[in-house]
Amino acid sequence: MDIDRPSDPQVSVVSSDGTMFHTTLKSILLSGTIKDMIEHIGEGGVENMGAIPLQNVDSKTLEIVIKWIEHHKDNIQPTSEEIKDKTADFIDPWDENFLEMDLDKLYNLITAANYLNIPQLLWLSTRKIAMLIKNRTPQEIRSLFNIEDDWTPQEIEAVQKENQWCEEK
Amino acid sequence: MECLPYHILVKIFSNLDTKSLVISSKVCQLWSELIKSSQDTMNCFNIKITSNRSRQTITILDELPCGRHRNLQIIDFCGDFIILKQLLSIHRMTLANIIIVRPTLWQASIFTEAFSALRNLSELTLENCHLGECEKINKNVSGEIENFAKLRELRIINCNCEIFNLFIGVKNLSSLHVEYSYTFNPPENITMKYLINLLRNSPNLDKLLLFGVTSFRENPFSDCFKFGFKLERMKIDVVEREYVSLKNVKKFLKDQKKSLKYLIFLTKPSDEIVEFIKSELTLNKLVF
Repeated sequence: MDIDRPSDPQVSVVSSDGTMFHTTLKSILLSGTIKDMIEHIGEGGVENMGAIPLQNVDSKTLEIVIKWIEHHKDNIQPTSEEIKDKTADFIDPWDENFLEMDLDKLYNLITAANYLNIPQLLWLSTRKIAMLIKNRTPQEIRSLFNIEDDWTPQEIEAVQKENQWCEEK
Repeated sequence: MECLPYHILVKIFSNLDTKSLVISSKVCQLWSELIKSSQDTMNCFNIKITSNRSRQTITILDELPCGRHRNLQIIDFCGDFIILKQLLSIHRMTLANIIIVRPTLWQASIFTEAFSALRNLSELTLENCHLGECEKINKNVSGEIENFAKLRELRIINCNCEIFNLFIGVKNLSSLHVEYSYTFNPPENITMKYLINLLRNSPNLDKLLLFGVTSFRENPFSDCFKFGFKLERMKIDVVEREYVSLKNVKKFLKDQKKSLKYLIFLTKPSDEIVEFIKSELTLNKLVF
């Protein structure tokens, strides 16, 4: 490593609504999308590179994402393949706490994690939604997520018949 | 929620256990479609029940995130059968391969009720199982066999021979593997009677392995050829060779001449039989 070059240089990113955020290279590399971009810039480009525009992420969400990547910048990130095999895994209490946010924010976070390709964050946030689905009735799920009930009475009957076994106590 | 792309929704669903998936598929048409179409791509898990504290184990297993459980192993199960039944019921669409080793004593009626309803069960192994009251079941269900509709491979190892009764008339049974059957009800040769009854009623059988099936008081071949199934593979351990008459073996092998390609004797037959096989049969493989 070069002596006069900081080991973890500053990088700037700009949200869709034009807010600039400063973070470090190490953190931002957790995003597969940005990693790909930076690799294409090539030799010595990082310092001279301007702010990276992220047109699909608004400032509120980007702030949350940056908080997460900065906390996890030194952790080894699992690959998407490893995440696929995960079962009921241990969740870091910090992450658990971090994900306490309203649903709209959570949706935006999921969309951002997907766009930025941060597998671990995507897994955590989708899992969070799954936890909310668990142990609820269909009606409770509908009202929680604001989903319209679009079944016809005949369809409801057919589905109920098919799934009777699931409600047996 | 509608702002999320479909593949993200599928990601969310892949974190759910089977029960929650079924409930989620009732939420709206989109969810139902997505869950149905993505089931194949979700992860497969095996379930293994070995703990004696079965209630707890099964409850935990039940909550495993999964798309589909295909394989189930039940080893040393001595817990609450009702809970097990519930688990089977939840996974009844997906379970394809089940291995049961040393369970507590089950009544045949309960066993059939719980296991025969599994719609995709294609391989079943029973090892050291003793099921009570199998004869009763036979009387009740014979004639209306819908049970075990997709069962193709059956392995019965060290079980009471009355178990054969439960599988009589299973339409798709093509492979049967029997090791060391016994019976608590004398006379001893009842094993053969039950086995032959099963063979006679399994028209699609093409692989047969008999190993260490004692009580060969009657000649196995003499009874086998009578109902004329065509075996492609046969592995046989003629434990009590003195009871196997040469004439019957010859007749049996002649009957199977066209289909039989693989023949394995676990005990070397007499020279005369070997001679006969070599001259009469065209086998792909012959092993003593």
